[in-house]
Amino acid sequence: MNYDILCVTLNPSLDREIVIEKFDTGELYRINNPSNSVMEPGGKGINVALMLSTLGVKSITMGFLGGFIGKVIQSKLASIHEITTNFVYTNEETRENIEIIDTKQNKITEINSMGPFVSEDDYSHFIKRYQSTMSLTDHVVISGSIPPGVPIHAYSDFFRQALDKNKFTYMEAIGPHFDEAIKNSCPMVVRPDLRKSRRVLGTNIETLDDYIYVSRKIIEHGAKLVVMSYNIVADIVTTAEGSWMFTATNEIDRSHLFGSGDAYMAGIVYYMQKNSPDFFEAAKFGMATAISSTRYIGKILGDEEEINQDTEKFKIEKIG
Amino acid sequence: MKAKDIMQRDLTAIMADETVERFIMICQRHGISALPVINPDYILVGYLSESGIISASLPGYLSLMESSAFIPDSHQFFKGLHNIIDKPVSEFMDDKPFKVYANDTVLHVADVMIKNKLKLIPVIDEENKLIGIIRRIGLLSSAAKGEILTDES
Repeated sequence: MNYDILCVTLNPSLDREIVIEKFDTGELYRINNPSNSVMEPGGKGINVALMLSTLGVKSITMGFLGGFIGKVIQSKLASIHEITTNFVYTNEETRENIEIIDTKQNKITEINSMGPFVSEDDYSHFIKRYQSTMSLTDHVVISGSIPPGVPIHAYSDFFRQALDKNKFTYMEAIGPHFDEAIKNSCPMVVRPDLRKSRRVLGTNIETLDDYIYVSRKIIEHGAKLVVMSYNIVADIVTTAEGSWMFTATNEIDRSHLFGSGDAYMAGIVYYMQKNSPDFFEAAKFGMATAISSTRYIGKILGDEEEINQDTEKFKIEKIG
Repeated sequence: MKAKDIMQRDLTAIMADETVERFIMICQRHGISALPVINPDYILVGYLSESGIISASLPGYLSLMESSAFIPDSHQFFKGLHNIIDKPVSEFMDDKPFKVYANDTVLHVADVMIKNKLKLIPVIDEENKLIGIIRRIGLLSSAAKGEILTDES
Protein backbone atom coordinates (compact mmCIF):
# COMPACT_ATOMS: atom_id res chain seq x y z
CA MET A 1 0.00 0.00 0.00
CA ASN A 2 1.42 3.39 -0.95
CA TYR A 3 0.56 6.53 0.90
CA ASP A 4 1.48 9.91 -0.56
CA ILE A 5 1.73 11.95 2.63
CA LEU A 6 1.62 11.84 6.41
CA CYS A 7 -0.40 14.67 7.98
CA VAL A 8 0.20 15.23 11.68
CA THR A 9 -2.37 17.26 13.62
CA LEU A 10 -1.54 17.07 17.31
CA ASN A 11 -4.59 19.11 18.30
CA PRO A 12 -7.49 18.35 15.92
CA SER A 13 -10.83 20.05 16.35
CA LEU A 14 -14.41 19.61 15.37
CA ASP A 15 -15.20 22.75 13.40
CA ARG A 16 -18.82 23.79 13.76
CA GLU A 17 -20.25 26.55 11.64
CA ILE A 18 -23.61 27.96 12.61
CA VAL A 19 -25.30 30.67 10.54
CA ILE A 20 -27.54 32.95 12.61
CA GLU A 21 -28.84 36.25 11.30
CA LYS A 22 -28.71 39.18 13.75
CA PHE A 23 -26.98 37.07 16.39
CA ASP A 24 -26.95 38.52 19.90
CA THR A 25 -26.13 37.20 23.37
CA GLY A 26 -28.91 36.18 25.73
CA GLU A 27 -31.27 35.14 22.92
CA LEU A 28 -32.70 31.78 21.82
CA TYR A 29 -32.14 30.78 18.19
CA ARG A 30 -33.56 27.74 16.44
CA ILE A 31 -31.78 26.33 13.41
CA ASN A 32 -34.43 25.19 10.95
CA ASN A 33 -32.22 24.66 7.93
CA PRO A 34 -29.61 21.91 8.58
CA SER A 35 -27.20 23.53 6.13
CA ASN A 36 -27.01 26.46 8.56
CA SER A 37 -25.34 24.22 11.13
CA VAL A 38 -22.53 22.07 9.78
CA MET A 39 -19.62 20.25 11.37
CA GLU A 40 -16.37 19.12 9.84
CA PRO A 41 -13.14 17.63 11.16
CA GLY A 42 -10.54 20.36 11.49
CA GLY A 43 -7.04 21.30 12.55
CA LYS A 44 -4.45 22.36 9.98
CA GLY A 45 -2.99 18.94 9.16
CA ILE A 46 -6.43 17.36 8.81
CA ASN A 47 -7.54 20.24 6.57
CA VAL A 48 -4.61 19.59 4.23
CA ALA A 49 -5.45 15.85 4.13
CA LEU A 50 -9.13 16.60 3.43
CA MET A 51 -8.33 19.05 0.63
CA LEU A 52 -5.76 16.74 -0.96
CA SER A 53 -8.23 13.85 -0.85
CA THR A 54 -10.33 15.74 -3.41
CA LEU A 55 -7.30 15.54 -5.74
CA GLY A 56 -6.94 11.80 -5.11
CA VAL A 57 -3.90 12.12 -2.81
CA LYS A 58 -3.71 9.30 -0.27
CA SER A 59 -2.77 10.31 3.25
CA ILE A 60 -2.33 8.95 6.73
CA THR A 61 -3.61 11.34 9.40
CA MET A 62 -2.17 11.16 12.91
CA GLY A 63 -2.49 13.04 16.16
CA PHE A 64 -4.49 12.87 19.36
CA LEU A 65 -8.24 12.34 19.58
CA GLY A 66 -10.37 11.85 22.63
CA GLY A 67 -13.85 11.33 23.96
CA PHE A 68 -17.12 11.78 22.17
CA ILE A 69 -15.92 14.56 19.86
CA GLY A 70 -12.88 12.48 18.96
CA LYS A 71 -15.18 9.67 17.80
CA VAL A 72 -17.16 12.10 15.63
CA ILE A 73 -13.94 13.24 13.91
CA GLN A 74 -12.73 9.66 13.48
CA SER A 75 -15.97 8.54 11.86
CA LYS A 76 -16.12 11.57 9.54
CA LEU A 77 -12.54 10.93 8.38
CA ALA A 78 -13.23 7.20 8.03
CA SER A 79 -15.81 7.93 5.33
CA ILE A 80 -13.15 9.43 3.04
CA HIS A 81 -11.56 6.80 0.85
CA GLU A 82 -8.17 8.52 0.45
CA ILE A 83 -7.64 8.91 4.20
CA THR A 84 -6.18 6.31 6.57
CA THR A 85 -6.45 7.19 10.26
CA ASN A 86 -3.91 6.44 12.97
CA PHE A 87 -4.79 8.46 16.07
CA VAL A 88 -3.69 7.98 19.66
CA TYR A 89 -6.68 8.34 21.97
CA THR A 90 -6.52 10.52 25.06
CA ASN A 91 -8.60 10.45 28.18
CA GLU A 92 -9.92 13.98 27.78
CA GLU A 93 -12.21 15.32 25.10
CA THR A 94 -11.02 16.71 21.72
CA ARG A 95 -11.67 20.43 21.27
CA GLU A 96 -14.36 22.18 19.28
CA ASN A 97 -14.09 25.39 17.29
CA ILE A 98 -17.47 27.00 17.11
CA GLU A 99 -18.12 29.83 14.65
CA ILE A 100 -21.33 31.75 14.64
CA ILE A 101 -21.64 33.50 11.32
CA ASP A 102 -23.96 36.46 11.20
CA THR A 103 -24.64 37.23 7.56
CA LYS A 104 -26.82 40.28 8.33
CA GLN A 105 -24.38 42.16 10.58
CA ASN A 106 -21.35 40.65 8.78
CA LYS A 107 -19.83 39.42 12.02
CA ILE A 108 -18.24 36.18 13.16
CA THR A 109 -18.30 35.07 16.80
CA GLU A 110 -15.78 32.36 17.64
CA ILE A 111 -15.54 30.01 20.60
CA ASN A 112 -12.36 27.89 20.69
CA SER A 113 -11.49 25.35 23.36
CA MET A 114 -7.94 24.36 24.26
CA GLY A 115 -7.79 20.65 23.57
CA PRO A 116 -7.29 17.56 25.73
CA PHE A 117 -4.47 17.14 28.21
CA VAL A 118 -2.01 14.62 26.78
CA SER A 119 -0.41 12.40 29.45
CA GLU A 120 3.25 11.43 29.32
CA ASP A 121 2.35 7.81 28.49
CA ASP A 122 0.10 8.83 25.61
CA TYR A 123 2.75 11.19 24.30
CA SER A 124 5.47 8.53 24.28
CA HIS A 125 3.03 6.12 22.65
CA PHE A 126 2.50 8.72 19.92
CA ILE A 127 6.25 9.24 19.39
CA LYS A 128 6.67 5.51 18.78
CA ARG A 129 3.75 5.42 16.32
CA TYR A 130 5.06 8.53 14.54
CA GLN A 131 8.49 6.98 14.02
CA SER A 132 6.95 3.87 12.49
CA THR A 133 4.32 5.61 10.41
CA MET A 134 6.84 8.04 8.96
CA SER A 135 8.53 5.09 7.22
CA LEU A 136 5.38 4.62 5.10
CA THR A 137 5.57 7.99 3.26
CA ASP A 138 8.03 10.48 1.73
CA HIS A 139 6.20 13.70 2.67
CA VAL A 140 5.49 14.81 6.23
CA VAL A 141 3.18 17.73 7.06
CA ILE A 142 3.00 18.84 10.71
CA SER A 143 0.67 21.75 11.33
CA GLY A 144 -1.37 23.63 13.89
CA SER A 145 -1.31 24.14 17.63
CA ILE A 146 -0.18 21.71 20.31
CA PRO A 147 -2.50 20.48 23.08
CA PRO A 148 -1.66 20.88 26.79
CA GLY A 149 0.91 18.35 28.02
CA VAL A 150 2.79 18.18 24.70
CA PRO A 151 6.30 19.70 25.13
CA ILE A 152 7.37 22.85 23.25
CA HIS A 153 10.11 20.85 21.48
CA ALA A 154 7.62 18.34 19.99
CA TYR A 155 7.67 19.77 16.44
CA SER A 156 11.41 20.21 16.60
CA ASP A 157 11.86 16.51 17.56
CA PHE A 158 9.44 15.25 14.91
CA PHE A 159 11.04 17.28 12.12
CA ARG A 160 14.52 16.21 13.21
CA GLN A 161 13.52 12.56 12.76
CA ALA A 162 11.83 13.25 9.42
CA LEU A 163 14.83 15.21 8.09
CA ASP A 164 17.23 12.46 9.24
CA LYS A 165 15.21 10.03 7.10
CA ASN A 166 15.34 12.43 4.08
CA LYS A 167 11.62 13.17 4.05
CA PHE A 168 10.10 16.26 2.47
CA THR A 169 8.88 18.34 5.39
CA TYR A 170 6.19 21.03 5.71
CA MET A 171 5.01 23.12 8.66
CA GLU A 172 2.28 25.67 9.20
CA ALA A 173 1.78 27.00 12.73
CA ILE A 174 2.63 29.89 15.05
CA GLY A 175 3.98 30.17 18.59
CA PRO A 176 6.87 28.89 20.69
CA HIS A 177 6.69 25.30 19.35
CA PHE A 178 6.88 26.68 15.79
CA ASP A 179 9.88 28.94 16.59
CA GLU A 180 11.63 26.05 18.33
CA ALA A 181 11.31 23.83 15.24
CA ILE A 182 12.71 26.58 12.97
CA LYS A 183 15.72 27.07 15.24
CA ASN A 184 16.55 23.39 15.83
CA SER A 185 15.41 21.37 12.81
CA CYS A 186 13.89 23.65 10.22
CA PRO A 187 11.45 21.94 7.82
CA MET A 188 11.74 22.61 4.06
CA VAL A 189 8.49 24.52 3.65
CA VAL A 190 7.44 26.94 6.39
CA ARG A 191 4.23 28.95 6.55
CA PRO A 192 3.69 31.04 9.67
CA ASP A 193 0.00 31.23 10.53
CA LEU A 194 -0.28 34.97 11.11
CA ARG A 195 -4.01 35.12 11.87
CA LYS A 196 -3.81 35.00 15.64
CA SER A 197 -0.31 36.26 16.30
CA ARG A 198 2.30 38.13 14.27
CA ARG A 199 5.25 37.24 16.41
CA VAL A 200 7.81 34.97 14.74
CA LEU A 201 11.36 34.38 16.05
CA GLY A 202 11.05 37.35 18.41
CA THR A 203 10.03 39.86 15.71
CA ASN A 204 6.60 41.41 15.47
CA ILE A 205 5.76 41.28 11.77
CA GLU A 206 4.14 44.53 10.64
CA THR A 207 5.85 46.26 7.72
CA LEU A 208 6.80 44.69 4.39
CA ASP A 209 10.45 44.87 5.51
CA ASP A 210 9.55 42.77 8.58
CA TYR A 211 8.05 40.12 6.30
CA ILE A 212 11.19 39.94 4.20
CA TYR A 213 13.51 40.09 7.22
CA VAL A 214 11.80 37.23 9.08
CA SER A 215 11.41 35.11 5.92
CA ARG A 216 15.16 35.42 5.26
CA LYS A 217 15.89 34.45 8.85
CA ILE A 218 13.83 31.28 8.41
CA ILE A 219 15.69 30.53 5.15
CA GLU A 220 19.00 30.96 7.04
CA HIS A 221 17.79 28.32 9.51
CA GLY A 222 17.49 25.88 6.58
CA ALA A 223 14.04 26.30 5.01
CA LYS A 224 13.85 26.07 1.20
CA LEU A 225 10.59 27.99 0.94
CA VAL A 226 8.80 30.44 3.24
CA VAL A 227 5.29 31.69 2.46
CA MET A 228 3.50 34.39 4.43
CA SER A 229 0.04 35.73 3.87
CA TYR A 230 0.12 39.51 3.26
CA ASN A 231 -2.83 41.95 3.25
CA ILE A 232 -5.36 39.17 2.64
CA VAL A 233 -5.03 38.86 -1.16
CA ALA A 234 -1.24 38.65 -1.44
CA ASP A 235 1.52 36.32 -0.28
CA ILE A 236 5.21 36.95 0.33
CA VAL A 237 7.23 34.05 -1.07
CA THR A 238 10.89 33.65 -0.13
CA THR A 239 13.53 31.15 -1.27
CA ALA A 240 17.33 31.25 -1.08
CA GLU A 241 17.18 33.31 -4.34
CA GLY A 242 15.12 36.16 -2.91
CA SER A 243 11.60 37.35 -2.07
CA TRP A 244 8.57 37.83 -4.31
CA MET A 245 5.09 39.16 -3.84
CA PHE A 246 2.23 37.16 -5.37
CA THR A 247 -0.92 39.27 -5.70
CA ALA A 248 -4.29 37.96 -6.82
CA THR A 249 -5.44 39.99 -9.83
CA ASN A 250 -9.07 38.92 -10.09
CA GLU A 251 -11.79 39.81 -7.63
CA ILE A 252 -11.84 37.20 -4.86
CA ASP A 253 -14.89 36.28 -2.83
CA ARG A 254 -13.60 37.26 0.58
CA SER A 255 -16.25 35.33 2.47
CA HIS A 256 -14.64 32.14 1.16
CA LEU A 257 -11.12 33.04 2.24
CA PHE A 258 -11.49 30.89 5.36
CA GLY A 259 -9.13 27.94 4.90
CA SER A 260 -7.30 29.35 1.89
CA GLY A 261 -4.06 29.14 3.91
CA ASP A 262 -4.54 25.39 4.24
CA ALA A 263 -5.34 25.22 0.52
CA TYR A 264 -2.04 27.01 -0.20
CA MET A 265 -0.14 24.38 1.77
CA ALA A 266 -2.14 21.57 0.13
CA GLY A 267 -1.17 22.97 -3.29
CA ILE A 268 2.53 23.08 -2.40
CA VAL A 269 2.47 19.49 -1.13
CA TYR A 270 0.56 18.33 -4.21
CA TYR A 271 3.06 19.94 -6.58
CA MET A 272 6.05 18.55 -4.66
CA GLN A 273 4.83 14.97 -4.70
CA LYS A 274 3.72 14.99 -8.36
CA ASN A 275 6.72 16.82 -9.87
CA SER A 276 10.46 17.10 -9.46
CA PRO A 277 11.17 19.22 -6.39
CA ASP A 278 11.13 22.89 -7.41
CA PHE A 279 10.11 25.01 -4.45
CA PHE A 280 9.38 28.23 -6.36
CA GLU A 281 7.13 26.41 -8.85
CA ALA A 282 5.45 24.68 -5.89
CA ALA A 283 4.75 28.10 -4.34
CA LYS A 284 3.12 29.24 -7.61
CA PHE A 285 0.96 26.14 -7.69
CA GLY A 286 0.10 26.72 -4.01
CA MET A 287 -1.08 30.24 -4.77
CA ALA A 288 -3.23 28.97 -7.65
CA THR A 289 -4.69 26.31 -5.36
CA ALA A 290 -5.54 28.93 -2.73
CA ILE A 291 -7.24 31.12 -5.37
CA SER A 292 -9.12 28.14 -6.74
CA SER A 293 -10.29 27.12 -3.24
CA THR A 294 -12.06 30.46 -2.73
CA ARG A 295 -14.66 29.28 -5.25
CA TYR A 296 -15.78 26.57 -2.84
CA ILE A 297 -17.27 26.50 0.62
CA GLY A 298 -15.90 23.66 2.73
CA LYS A 299 -12.59 21.86 2.65
CA ILE A 300 -12.48 20.96 -1.02
CA LEU A 301 -10.38 21.99 -4.01
CA GLY A 302 -11.07 22.22 -7.71
CA ASP A 303 -9.45 19.64 -9.97
CA GLU A 304 -5.91 19.97 -11.30
CA GLU A 305 -7.05 21.54 -14.57
CA GLU A 306 -8.97 24.24 -12.74
CA ILE A 307 -5.99 24.98 -10.50
CA ASN A 308 -3.71 25.21 -13.54
CA GLN A 309 -6.01 27.84 -15.03
CA ASP A 310 -5.69 29.82 -11.80
CA THR A 311 -1.92 30.10 -12.26
CA GLU A 312 -2.79 33.01 -14.61
CA LYS A 313 -4.81 34.83 -11.97
CA PHE A 314 -2.06 36.44 -9.93
CA LYS A 315 0.95 38.63 -10.64
CA ILE A 316 4.49 38.07 -9.43
CA GLU A 317 6.85 40.89 -8.46
CA LYS A 318 10.36 40.53 -7.13
CA ILE A 319 10.64 42.54 -3.90
CA GLY A 320 13.97 41.56 -2.45
CA MET B 1 -16.40 -6.74 -3.62
CA LYS B 2 -12.95 -6.88 -2.01
CA ALA B 3 -11.70 -6.77 1.58
CA LYS B 4 -10.24 -3.30 0.93
CA ASP B 5 -13.72 -2.01 -0.02
CA ILE B 6 -15.29 -2.80 3.34
CA MET B 7 -12.30 -2.37 5.68
CA GLN B 8 -11.84 0.49 8.10
CA ARG B 9 -8.72 2.35 6.92
CA ASP B 10 -7.28 2.63 10.42
CA LEU B 11 -3.83 1.59 11.62
CA THR B 12 -4.61 1.33 15.33
CA ALA B 13 -2.52 -1.57 16.61
CA ILE B 14 -0.23 -2.61 19.43
CA MET B 15 3.44 -3.57 19.34
CA ALA B 16 4.76 -6.82 20.81
CA ASP B 17 6.84 -5.09 23.52
CA GLU B 18 3.93 -2.98 24.82
CA THR B 19 2.05 -4.02 27.94
CA VAL B 20 -1.26 -5.75 28.51
CA GLU B 21 -2.35 -2.62 30.38
CA ARG B 22 -1.80 -0.55 27.22
CA PHE B 23 -3.70 -3.16 25.19
CA ILE B 24 -6.72 -2.85 27.49
CA MET B 25 -6.54 0.95 27.40
CA ILE B 26 -6.42 1.12 23.58
CA CYS B 27 -9.31 -1.35 23.20
CA GLN B 28 -11.38 0.53 25.74
CA ARG B 29 -10.76 3.98 24.26
CA HIS B 30 -11.28 2.86 20.66
CA GLY B 31 -14.24 0.68 21.54
CA ILE B 32 -12.84 -2.47 19.92
CA SER B 33 -12.34 -5.98 21.30
CA ALA B 34 -9.07 -7.04 19.67
CA LEU B 35 -5.94 -5.50 18.16
CA PRO B 36 -3.48 -6.47 15.44
CA VAL B 37 0.08 -6.75 16.79
CA ILE B 38 2.66 -5.10 14.52
CA ASN B 39 6.42 -4.62 14.40
CA PRO B 40 7.90 -1.10 13.94
CA ASP B 41 7.58 -1.49 10.13
CA TYR B 42 3.83 -2.10 10.41
CA ILE B 43 4.26 -5.77 9.50
CA LEU B 44 1.60 -7.93 11.13
CA VAL B 45 3.18 -10.24 13.71
CA GLY B 46 0.26 -11.23 15.90
CA TYR B 47 -3.24 -10.76 17.20
CA LEU B 48 -4.60 -10.27 20.68
CA SER B 49 -8.23 -10.21 21.78
CA GLU B 50 -10.12 -9.63 25.00
CA SER B 51 -10.74 -13.35 25.27
CA GLY B 52 -7.01 -13.95 24.88
CA ILE B 53 -6.44 -11.79 27.95
CA ILE B 54 -9.24 -13.48 29.88
CA SER B 55 -7.86 -16.96 29.29
CA ALA B 56 -4.34 -15.79 30.13
CA SER B 57 -5.67 -14.46 33.44
CA LEU B 58 -7.21 -17.76 34.45
CA PRO B 59 -5.34 -20.71 35.95
CA GLY B 60 -3.92 -22.95 33.22
CA TYR B 61 -6.24 -25.92 33.72
CA LEU B 62 -9.35 -23.75 33.19
CA SER B 63 -8.30 -22.63 29.73
CA LEU B 64 -8.47 -26.29 28.68
CA MET B 65 -12.18 -26.27 29.27
CA GLU B 66 -14.59 -25.19 26.59
CA SER B 67 -16.86 -23.18 28.84
CA SER B 68 -16.09 -20.51 31.41
CA ALA B 69 -19.07 -21.75 33.44
CA PHE B 70 -16.55 -23.92 35.31
CA ILE B 71 -14.71 -20.98 36.84
CA PRO B 72 -15.06 -21.54 40.58
CA ASP B 73 -14.38 -17.97 41.66
CA SER B 74 -13.96 -14.72 39.64
CA HIS B 75 -11.53 -13.55 42.28
CA GLN B 76 -8.97 -15.86 40.66
CA PHE B 77 -9.49 -14.03 37.41
CA PHE B 78 -8.83 -10.58 38.86
CA LYS B 79 -5.74 -11.83 40.67
CA GLY B 80 -4.56 -13.44 37.46
CA LEU B 81 -5.14 -10.28 35.46
CA HIS B 82 -3.25 -8.25 38.03
CA ASN B 83 -0.27 -10.58 37.56
CA ILE B 84 -0.06 -10.12 33.81
CA ILE B 85 -0.97 -6.44 33.48
CA ASP B 86 2.63 -5.21 33.16
CA LYS B 87 3.79 -8.06 30.93
CA PRO B 88 4.41 -7.57 27.20
CA VAL B 89 1.73 -8.41 24.68
CA SER B 90 4.16 -10.83 22.96
CA GLU B 91 3.62 -13.35 25.79
CA PHE B 92 -0.10 -13.64 25.17
CA MET B 93 -0.66 -12.86 21.52
CA ASP B 94 -1.52 -15.35 18.82
CA ASP B 95 1.63 -15.26 16.71
CA LYS B 96 -0.01 -16.95 13.71
CA PRO B 97 -2.85 -14.51 13.33
CA PHE B 98 -5.79 -14.88 10.99
CA LYS B 99 -5.55 -12.21 8.33
CA VAL B 100 -6.86 -11.31 4.89
CA TYR B 101 -5.26 -9.53 1.96
CA ALA B 102 -6.59 -6.27 0.52
CA ASN B 103 -7.73 -8.01 -2.67
CA ASP B 104 -9.35 -11.06 -1.06
CA THR B 105 -13.06 -11.26 -1.77
CA VAL B 106 -15.50 -10.32 0.97
CA LEU B 107 -16.92 -13.82 0.65
CA HIS B 108 -13.54 -15.20 1.70
CA VAL B 109 -13.36 -12.69 4.57
CA ALA B 110 -16.79 -13.83 5.78
CA ASP B 111 -15.67 -17.43 5.59
CA VAL B 112 -12.60 -16.89 7.77
CA MET B 113 -14.39 -14.67 10.27
CA ILE B 114 -17.44 -16.87 10.75
CA LYS B 115 -15.60 -20.21 10.89
CA ASN B 116 -13.14 -18.90 13.46
CA LYS B 117 -15.60 -16.76 15.43
CA LEU B 118 -13.48 -13.61 14.95
CA LYS B 119 -14.81 -10.23 15.98
CA LEU B 120 -12.10 -8.46 14.04
CA ILE B 121 -9.62 -9.41 11.33
CA PRO B 122 -6.51 -7.49 10.19
CA VAL B 123 -6.20 -6.58 6.49
CA ILE B 124 -2.67 -6.56 5.05
CA ASP B 125 -0.98 -5.64 1.77
CA GLU B 126 1.35 -7.86 -0.28
CA GLU B 127 4.30 -6.93 2.01
CA ASN B 128 2.33 -8.15 5.07
CA LYS B 129 1.90 -4.56 6.28
CA LEU B 130 -1.24 -3.66 8.16
CA ILE B 131 -3.55 -1.41 6.11
CA GLY B 132 -6.84 -1.71 8.00
CA ILE B 133 -9.23 -3.91 9.91
CA ILE B 134 -12.60 -5.48 9.26
CA ARG B 135 -14.98 -5.81 12.18
CA ARG B 136 -17.72 -8.40 12.31
CA ILE B 137 -20.33 -5.65 12.42
CA GLY B 138 -18.87 -4.10 9.24
CA LEU B 139 -19.19 -7.46 7.52
CA LEU B 140 -22.75 -7.91 8.77
CA SER B 141 -23.75 -4.47 7.64
CA SER B 142 -22.38 -5.04 4.10
CA ALA B 143 -24.17 -8.38 4.00
CA ALA B 144 -27.42 -6.84 5.23
CA LYS B 145 -27.27 -4.27 2.44
CA GLY B 146 -26.88 -7.12 -0.04
CA GLU B 147 -23.47 -5.86 -1.16
CA ILE B 148 -21.65 -9.15 -0.75
CA LEU B 149 -23.63 -11.56 -2.88
CA THR B 150 -24.73 -9.22 -5.66
CA ASP B 151 -21.40 -9.10 -7.48
CA GLU B 152 -20.08 -12.54 -6.64
CA SER B 153 -22.98 -14.92 -7.16
